[in-house]
Amino acid sequence: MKEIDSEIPKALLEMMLAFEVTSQTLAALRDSISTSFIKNKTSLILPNEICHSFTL
Amino acid sequence: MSGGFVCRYYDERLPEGKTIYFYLDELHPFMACVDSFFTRTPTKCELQAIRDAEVVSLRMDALTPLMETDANLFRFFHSVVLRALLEEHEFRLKLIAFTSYRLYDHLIQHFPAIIREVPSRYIAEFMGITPEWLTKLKSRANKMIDS
Repeated sequence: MKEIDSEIPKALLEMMLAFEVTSQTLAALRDSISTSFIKNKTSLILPNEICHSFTL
Repeated sequence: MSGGFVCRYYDERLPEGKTIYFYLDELHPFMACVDSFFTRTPTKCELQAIRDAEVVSLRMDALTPLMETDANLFRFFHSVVLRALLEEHEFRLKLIAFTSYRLYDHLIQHFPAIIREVPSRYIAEFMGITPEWLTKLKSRANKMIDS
């Protein structure tokens, strides 16, 4: 679990653990979660793009 | 997420985008262009940062197979999406039903982060009023606070 803690943001991890998401799932999710820095006045998604991600 | 975003809707008949929602780290932190996210078709919206932001993204193509094997992950995702959609729905009801005076008062009382963090032009767009009218609403609200 320590490795997972370091990859999945703490607040998100706590929410998932509250739903009893398994450690196996969390480990799999770890590889598909990405963190991005978005500069002010730039776009995360533009019109006509397909939104692939649920973001927080 | 840290930072903030506005969701702006674009249509070929509109001269420019129109703000339809806000996402801030302390308010409605889960976001997606739902018109595209669920249908896999191009969105008509833009998610634009209104200050420097850091976002965590969960890809649908990674989530879907995991939700099929872990019912608790599905419950988590369903809960988060449902809450986000209900909050947006609640906001839209007030946008339709309230006068601009009442809507601005509602924002001040219940969503001060929007007033504090979101540039005025996006708030005016969202409320469907001119920036000048928003300035009048602000002055009125400030006078009420002072008195």
